[in-house]
Amino acid sequence: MLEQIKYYLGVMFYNFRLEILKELEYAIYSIAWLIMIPLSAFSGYYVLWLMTQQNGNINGWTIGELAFLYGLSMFSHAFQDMFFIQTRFIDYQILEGSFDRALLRPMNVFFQFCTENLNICGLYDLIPAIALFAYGCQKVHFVWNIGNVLGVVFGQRTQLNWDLRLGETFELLRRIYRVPEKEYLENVAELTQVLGLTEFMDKPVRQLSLGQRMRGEMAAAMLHSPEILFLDEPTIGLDIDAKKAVRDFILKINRERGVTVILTSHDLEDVSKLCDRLIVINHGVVVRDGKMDQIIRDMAPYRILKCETAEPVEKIRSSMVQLMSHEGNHMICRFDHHQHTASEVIGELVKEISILDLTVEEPNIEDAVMELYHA
Amino acid sequence: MGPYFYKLKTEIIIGLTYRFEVFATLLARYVQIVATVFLWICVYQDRKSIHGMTREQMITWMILSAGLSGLYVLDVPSRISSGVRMGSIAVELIRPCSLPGLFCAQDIGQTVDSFFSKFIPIVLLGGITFGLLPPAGAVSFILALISVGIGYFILWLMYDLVGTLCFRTMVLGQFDAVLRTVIAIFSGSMIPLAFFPQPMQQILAWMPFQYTFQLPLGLYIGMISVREGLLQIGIQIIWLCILNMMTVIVWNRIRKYILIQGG
Repeated sequence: MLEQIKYYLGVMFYNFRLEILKELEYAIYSIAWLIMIPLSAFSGYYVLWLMTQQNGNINGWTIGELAFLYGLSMFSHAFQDMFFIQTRFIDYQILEGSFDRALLRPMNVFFQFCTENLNICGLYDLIPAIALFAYGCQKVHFVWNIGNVLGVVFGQRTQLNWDLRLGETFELLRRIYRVPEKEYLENVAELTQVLGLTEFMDKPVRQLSLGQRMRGEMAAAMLHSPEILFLDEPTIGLDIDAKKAVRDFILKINRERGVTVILTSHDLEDVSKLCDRLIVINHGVVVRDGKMDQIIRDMAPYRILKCETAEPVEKIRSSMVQLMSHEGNHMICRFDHHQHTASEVIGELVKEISILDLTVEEPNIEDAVMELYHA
Repeated sequence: MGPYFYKLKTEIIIGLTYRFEVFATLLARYVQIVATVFLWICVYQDRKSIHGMTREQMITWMILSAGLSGLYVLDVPSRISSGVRMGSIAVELIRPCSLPGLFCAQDIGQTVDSFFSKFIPIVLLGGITFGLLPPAGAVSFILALISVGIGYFILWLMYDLVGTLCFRTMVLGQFDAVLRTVIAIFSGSMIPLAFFPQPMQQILAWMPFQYTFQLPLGLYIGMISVREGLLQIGIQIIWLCILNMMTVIVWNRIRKYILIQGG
């Protein structure tokens, strides 16, 4: 129980610290609020004051009593603004789908919702609140006599804080997932090195390129050493360098840490380089599920044989190979490697054609998947 | 004019898809009308008129003022600030049409939508509950309509100028809210300017604020005569030109500034 409270308070205070840092990042934002809030409150009161000028009161309420009430209501407004400002943005959270994130974290969702955003500007409400309340107290002669196991990366939805440096977001995640300090430092050091985060660790996330951000997301998802990592199109829109970094990283964590990686991708290069097991889904139905090389072998049983010949070839008599295309001295044919070995096929061919050069190619995954979809 | 009208049209269509927001605004404005009207009824008590305004004129003023606040859509600062923050503004600036022009078209489009979805229901609800006076005269009414139109553009240009602060500060913060508060109090929207102390009224006469709410509302209830109204619409047009010149200068500087940063 005590530990639970300590945990929640730890996360909350760190979140509040980040909010203060964010506030300092945009000092101008704070200043604008600092002008706006008292200005708005005092002008509201000023209008009331103008209205009382006629009779000296409004329906019996003197200007002093109104100041007392106005100040009092500002206090509750300040409290509401500081801790519950999130309720005003709940519609955006639903639209953006950032609730998913909260649901997947090992913390009370309502608690996360309330502490995610400490609105420091609520404090500025206290300026007019104290001023008007004090003035009102004096006017009315007021007497005081009362005594986690999952890691998630969503393609475009980030769990990195747009306005903060990468390192700061990591620090927050450490607290949320209760990663021991030692493990955290080791993880950060390793992830920084593997993903090449050093150069942009201290840049605010908004200034990062998509590739850099994606690497940051990967690191963020791996901080608490999850056992399963879900990746939704991890390499979409990335440049070659970043793609390679992300792929190498996935292979490395899979091999070295034994993390199970489940990824969706339209990029078949991802699939061929990363996966052991392949599940092909077409219109919501699992079409194939099995070892990847098995699927490729089943679906594309042919090997491709490319030859350069001494004379143009138009026809092949041998039944082992099928001629697929020919142009001048080049020809491409295929054979079923379950029935014949490459050397058998070449032996046969040499009997009828004089071959200058040849290559044998593996079937590729794109053909296999195409077969699956069109079957 | 093609792209501007298209933007305007799409904004109207978008507005139609968010019906719930309409009801929420309607309710908020209705509460505003009820609260202010009750306050004023208390202020009037047994007085016939204050500063030359009868109780009925004051109620009409408050209902129409709430209607106009609902009608005017002035989202240009947030459009600029999100463009600057997300970095999309640079791309938008090199398109072959005026960016402030597009922003303006969007706001006008939403204003057209809110005329039907907000202004009319707010005024109807308020009028049914508390009673609405007819316009002081046909000429006054036409002048009021003209001054509402010009007043909208004065407001829009002021918001646009505040919005361009973003290019310097990266975020807008609440400078548009500061402007909103200043306008609410000094434009006659919250309280007719006649209630202000004399020296303050003289200062306000040299500012553009009163030409946004005070003038059309004053014309409607007949507090401003046709003759004086014509004169004030003249001043309104002068303010429109001054503010327009300022925004043109500011946007030209921004275009150069952005090009340098980008190059």
